[in-house]
Amino acid sequence: MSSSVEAITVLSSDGDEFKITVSAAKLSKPLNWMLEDVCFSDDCDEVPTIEVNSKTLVKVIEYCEKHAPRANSGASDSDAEELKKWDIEFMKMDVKDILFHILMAANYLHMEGLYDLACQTAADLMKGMTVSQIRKIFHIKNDFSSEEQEQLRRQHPGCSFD
Amino acid sequence: MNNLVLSPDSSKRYRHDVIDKKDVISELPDSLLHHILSFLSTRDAIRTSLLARRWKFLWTYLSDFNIKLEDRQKQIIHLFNQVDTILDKAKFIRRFSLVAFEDVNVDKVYYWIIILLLKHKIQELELSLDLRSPFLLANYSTVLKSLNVMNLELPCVLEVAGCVHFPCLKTLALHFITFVDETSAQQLFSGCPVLQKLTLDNCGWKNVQNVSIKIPTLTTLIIEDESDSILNCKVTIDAVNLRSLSYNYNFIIELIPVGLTSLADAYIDVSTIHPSLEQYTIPRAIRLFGGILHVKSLVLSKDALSTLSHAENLLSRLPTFHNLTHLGVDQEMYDFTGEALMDILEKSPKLEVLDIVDGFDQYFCSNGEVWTLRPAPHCIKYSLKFVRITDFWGRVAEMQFLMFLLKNATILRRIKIFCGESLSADLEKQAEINNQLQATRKGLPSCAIEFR
Repeated sequence: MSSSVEAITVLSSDGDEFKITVSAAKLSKPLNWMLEDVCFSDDCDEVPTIEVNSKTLVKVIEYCEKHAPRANSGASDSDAEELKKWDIEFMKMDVKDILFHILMAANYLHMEGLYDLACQTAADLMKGMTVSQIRKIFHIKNDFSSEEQEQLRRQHPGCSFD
Repeated sequence: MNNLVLSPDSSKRYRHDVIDKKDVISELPDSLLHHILSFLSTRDAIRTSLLARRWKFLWTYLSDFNIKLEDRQKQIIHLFNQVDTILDKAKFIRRFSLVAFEDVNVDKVYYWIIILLLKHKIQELELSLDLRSPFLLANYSTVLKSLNVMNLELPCVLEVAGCVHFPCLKTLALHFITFVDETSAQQLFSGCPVLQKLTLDNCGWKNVQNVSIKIPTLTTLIIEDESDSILNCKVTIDAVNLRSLSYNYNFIIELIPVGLTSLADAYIDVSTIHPSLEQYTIPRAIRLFGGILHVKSLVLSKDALSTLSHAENLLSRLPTFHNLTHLGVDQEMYDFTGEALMDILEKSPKLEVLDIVDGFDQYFCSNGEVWTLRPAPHCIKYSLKFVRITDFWGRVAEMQFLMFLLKNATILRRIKIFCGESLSADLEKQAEINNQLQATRKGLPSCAIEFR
């Protein structure tokens, strides 16, 4: 492949092929390394695999393509504002399913922006919620014994378990 | 953009490895959960310890704690217990902020500070407490080394021990504290050798006569006070690298700037001062302006220009602002402040931008004579490029001012006019004003007049 490639093909962990543009791949260090490998090795037929499932990879690539122009060239305040709104829409997804896959993928792909965005979104779901509401949203099982609960209640008198 | 390029049936192969009711979040690695918690308020983050065993100690790995008392009556005891719990359980505290306007036992505060400094080697400390008894900044020997940012809002008397030294402190803000004596004030300022930003907000100087803030690393200084009782206190500011000065102080103390050769921005904001105090305030104002002569951008707010305009022989008492390129007046213009403005313009030979932020007063501006009586200053003739005027109605004084500029400013390129309410809708009147103004520009390079 020549160095003038505009997009690279990658495989998801499910074995599906995806195309990602060079500028978008630059948002992730590991993707960028793959890109350099592909660009500098001639007749390399091997398509690199990314350990992220297809459903998540679609979203990750969507994020990269959206953020690439700004990351590569900088942008005005109004663009930043627009991008913020886009981020909020982008994160409107099922908590149990994609959010944590996105989080893990962003972590694995060293994508700071997406990582922070996913963590912020998870945190926003907890804000202002009672303990039992948070348990419900994230399906967290209360595994404290009654003694432990009593002890915690003493330690955090301002907080309620409900 | 559709990124999926192969396998038409690939959508069937999506792995559904998350069952609907599975607790996925608790399976995430610690580092990831810590990061999620870092986006929560301290209160919410600590509350997650009640979710389940997995969450019990996660919060103790947070490094920034911001505690605020919201409901006065109910929570004060809980709050102090919470502080004790945090200081005890947290692994490493980088930043600690406690905002609770409650009378706290000062010994408890000392205890907290010692734990924060000794155990956690805290970098940022912010305390806003309604402390009534005197507060002693003691020397905790080498532990003050870690402190980078300190913000104290304590309406009490501050005593600073003899050998207190903050070798790494970059940002210091003091609000509402009163220095117990001159030695304490001097010790504090001398003990911050690498300070970059200093805020002195409503500090009490009644026990101080003479203090020197000599800090070569200082880049930003903010001094604020709303009171207006004149004190016999001199504060020398000797800061060769100071770039930004914000002064909102009514001249109740005498500020003596020394060697501020790097000053880029100065914001001077003075409230109306009783005329009987002018004998004190005017010399102080003149001295302040004498010390900021290197400034590049100057904004005069509230009554700063009025104060100057009450000085006799202002022109001869002002320094020449050789570097000043930007002047903003954030105060309604009157006839008498027009005179003072002309004096400043005359002393600013390189001015390029003039910004009249608050427009001209409706009643105290007559026929704009002030702009016709004197020859145009050097900067108007040879360096002024851009003028902005806000709250413009097209009255006589405003028109005279702009005509004066258009007639004399040879390289003026643009005037931006933000119209008052009735004018902003009246495009016909705007065109008429534009014609009238442009007519005075005859024989000079063109100048764009923009209405907003």
